[in-house]
Amino acid sequence: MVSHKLVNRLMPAMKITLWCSFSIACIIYGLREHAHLFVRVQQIIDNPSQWERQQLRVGGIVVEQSIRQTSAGIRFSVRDHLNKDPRAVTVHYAGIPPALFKEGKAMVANGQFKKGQFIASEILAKHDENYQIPEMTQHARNPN
Amino acid sequence: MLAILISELGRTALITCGAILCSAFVLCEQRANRSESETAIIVNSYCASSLLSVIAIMMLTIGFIQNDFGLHTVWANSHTRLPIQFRLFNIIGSPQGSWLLWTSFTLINLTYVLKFLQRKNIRIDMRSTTLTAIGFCLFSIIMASPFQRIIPIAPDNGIDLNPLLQDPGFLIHPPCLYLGSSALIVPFMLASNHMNNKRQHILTKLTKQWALWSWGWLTLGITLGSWWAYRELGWGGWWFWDPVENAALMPWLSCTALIHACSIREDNRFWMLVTSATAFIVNILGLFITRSGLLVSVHGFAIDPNKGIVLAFMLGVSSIYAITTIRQSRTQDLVSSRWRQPQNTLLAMTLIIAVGTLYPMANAWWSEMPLVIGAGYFEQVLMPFSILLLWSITKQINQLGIRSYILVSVIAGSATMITHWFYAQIINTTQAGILVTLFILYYVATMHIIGLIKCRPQRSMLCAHMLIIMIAIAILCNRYYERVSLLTTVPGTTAKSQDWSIHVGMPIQKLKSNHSREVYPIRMTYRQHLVSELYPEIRTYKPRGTKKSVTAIGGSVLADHYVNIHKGETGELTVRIYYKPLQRLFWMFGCLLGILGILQAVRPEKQHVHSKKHNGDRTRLDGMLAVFTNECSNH
Repeated sequence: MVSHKLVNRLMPAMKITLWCSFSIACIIYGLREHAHLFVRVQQIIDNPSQWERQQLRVGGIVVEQSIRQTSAGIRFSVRDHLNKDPRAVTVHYAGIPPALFKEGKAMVANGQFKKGQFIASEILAKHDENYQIPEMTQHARNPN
Repeated sequence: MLAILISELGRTALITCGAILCSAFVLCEQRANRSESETAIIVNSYCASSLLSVIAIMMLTIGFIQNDFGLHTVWANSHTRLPIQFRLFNIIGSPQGSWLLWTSFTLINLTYVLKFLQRKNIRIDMRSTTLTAIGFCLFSIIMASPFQRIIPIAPDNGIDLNPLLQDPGFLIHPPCLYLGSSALIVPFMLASNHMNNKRQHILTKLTKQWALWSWGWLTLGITLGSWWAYRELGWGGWWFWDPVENAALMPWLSCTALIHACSIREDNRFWMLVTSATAFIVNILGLFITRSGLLVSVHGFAIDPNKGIVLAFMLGVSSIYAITTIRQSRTQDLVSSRWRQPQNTLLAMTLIIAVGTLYPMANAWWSEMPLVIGAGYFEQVLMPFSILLLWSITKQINQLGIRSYILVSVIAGSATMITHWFYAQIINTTQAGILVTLFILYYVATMHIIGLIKCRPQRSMLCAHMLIIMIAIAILCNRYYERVSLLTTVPGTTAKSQDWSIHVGMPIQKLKSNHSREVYPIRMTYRQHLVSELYPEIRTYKPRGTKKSVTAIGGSVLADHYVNIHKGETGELTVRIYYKPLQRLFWMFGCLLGILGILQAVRPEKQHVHSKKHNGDRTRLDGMLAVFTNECSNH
C-alpha cells in the first residue's frame, strides 16, 4: 500500500519535528524565565517604571556604610559605576553575600525591581583584582 | 644565544610540521583511490609531523625552564621565582602553548588511528581531516605563535603565571581535556567514511573505541577541572555554568550520545554520523568560546578579535562540511534508525547548553541591552531531559530481567532513610520531593548492583550507568543538605553562629619562592564537638602583587568542611564555612567513570563470536528489530 510506505517515510520527519519543537519550547520557556537584562543603576534611576517586575541584572558600586543586616537578610544601596552620581538604588537580598562583597566595591545582583526596591535573588562580586565583569567593560567602552 | 637557537628550532619544527601536512594533503587530494605506497607516505608524513610538534613543545618547555623572557609567551606567563613544577607545565597555562599542545594531541591521535587502518588495510578519505589538521597547525604558526620574540631587547623578568592557575589541580585537568576533545576528530573521520566502506564492522568498532577513549579523558578532565574550581575559586561550588565549563560539557554530552549510537545497534550509521559530527562541531565551538575573547569568564584566555574571526571561519567551514556529510547519508538509514534512544536526549541537552552559552553573545548583535543567562536556565531546562535519561537507563535494566522488586525497594528505602536521617540532623527539614527522588535513584542504583552480580553481559555499561546514578545521588545530597554560614571575627577569638563555633588562631607567616602565606589555624566545633582543624591561607603573590585566598578542606567522605577566609581592610576576618555532603564521593565516582572509559577503549579486542554470546539479550532485540524493519520496508 502506498499510504503505508508514505507513513513510514514521514514518521522519522514527524518524530524529528516533534522532538525539536519540544526542545525548543523548553529552551524558550527557560530563556524567558532566566535571561536577565543587564542594566546600570543610572538607567533604573532615570526611568524606574520601565524596569518594574522585569528580570534584571544590576551592576554598580556598593555605597559606603550602607550595608545593614535585617531580620530577613541584608539591605544596601548601589550607585552607578561609571559616573559620580550620588543617587542610589536600595537592594534587598535574603541570603549570605559572596566573599568579595564589600562597601565601595563593584557588585552585580540578579533579581527584580519592585516598588522602588531591587529584590535580589543572587549577588555576585568580582573575584579577582584584575577581573572585570564583562558587561561593565562593555558599558565602559560605549557608555550609551 | 643558545636560548634564541632553541626557540628558533622550535619555530622551524612547527613550520616544517605544517609544510609536511600540506604535502600530505596534496597527495590525499590527487587520487582518492590510492596505492599502498601512497598511503604509507601519508601515514609517515603524519608520523613525522606529530614528532615535529612534540619537538616544538619540548623547545617551548625548555624556554620556560630556562626563563627565556625574550619569548613573548614565556614573558607573559612566567617569572624567575615561579616554582619549577609550574614552569615545567607552564605550556598549559599560556594560550599559545595550550594551542600547540592541542595541535600536537590531534596529530598524535590521528597518526595512531592511521597506523591502525594501514595495518588492517582499510583505505579512507583523508582530505577533510588533513585540512583540519593543517588549519590547527597554521593557526598555531600564524595566529597564536608560541615562538614570537620580543624585539629588540628581552625583558629581565616575566609577568608571572596567574595565581589562580598556580595549583596542582590546574596542571592535570587541561591536558586530559585536550587529549579527549582533540581525539573527537577521529570518530567523525571514521563515521564520515563509514558509508562507502566494505569493512564497516571494523570501522564501527573503531569508532566506538575512539569515542570511548575521548569520552574517558573528557570525563576525567571535567571532574578534575571542577575539583580545581572547587578548591581554587573559593566560591563553595564546583560548577558555575560558566561558558568555558559549558564548552567542555557540550562535547562530553555529544560524545556520550555517540557511544550510545555506536553500541545500541551495530549498523546505526545515521546516528553515528550525526552524533560524531555534532561532537566535532561542538568541540570547535568550544575552542571558539574559550579563545575568541568574545565571552569573558573565569578561564578567559586571550582577547584578540582577529583570532575570533579566524576561529569563527574554522567553525563555519567545519559545520558546513559536517552538514554536507550528513546529507550524503541515505534516507533508508534515517528510516531504519531507531528513534527512542538516549542519543536524542543527549543531543537535545547539547543544544540547550549551546543556546544558553551563545544567546548572550548573539543578543549583542540585535540589541543594545546586554543580557545574561542565569544558572537557573540550565538547571530548569535540563531537568526534564535528565528525567528522560534516567528513564532510558531504567528501561535498559528491565531488559535484563531483574524481577526482585520487593528486595530492591526495601534496600533503596532503607538507604534513603539512612541518608536522610544522617543529614537531617544538620538541616532539620524534610522535603518529600527530595526523599522521593533519592529513593528512585537508590532504587535504580540497587538494580544495577544486582544486575552486575547476576548477569555478566554488558558489565561495563551497567557499571558506567551505576556510576552515573551514584554521581546523581552525590549531587542531589550535595545540593540539598549543603549548609553555609558566615562569621566575622578577629584572629585570636572565638565566633559562634547557630550550631557552629570557630576559634581563629593568630596567623603564621610563611615565605615561599614567589609568594608569602598567612596561615590561620581554625578549630571548628559543632555543638561542642571538635569537628576539624583547618588551615586556610591568604597568599600574596609578589610578582603580580595579587592576593589569593586558599581554601582549607577537611571532613570525611560523608561531608566536606570547607573554610574560606577573607581579610578586611581593618584586619577583621570574614570566615565562610560550607558543609558539603558527599563531595568526595563525587570526585571519586567521576574519576572512576573516566578511567573506566579509557580502560574500555584500550582493552584488547574480543573475538566476535564471544561478544555475541555475551550480548544475548541485545542480539535478540536487534534481531526482532531487523525483522520489523524488513517488514516495514516490504510494505
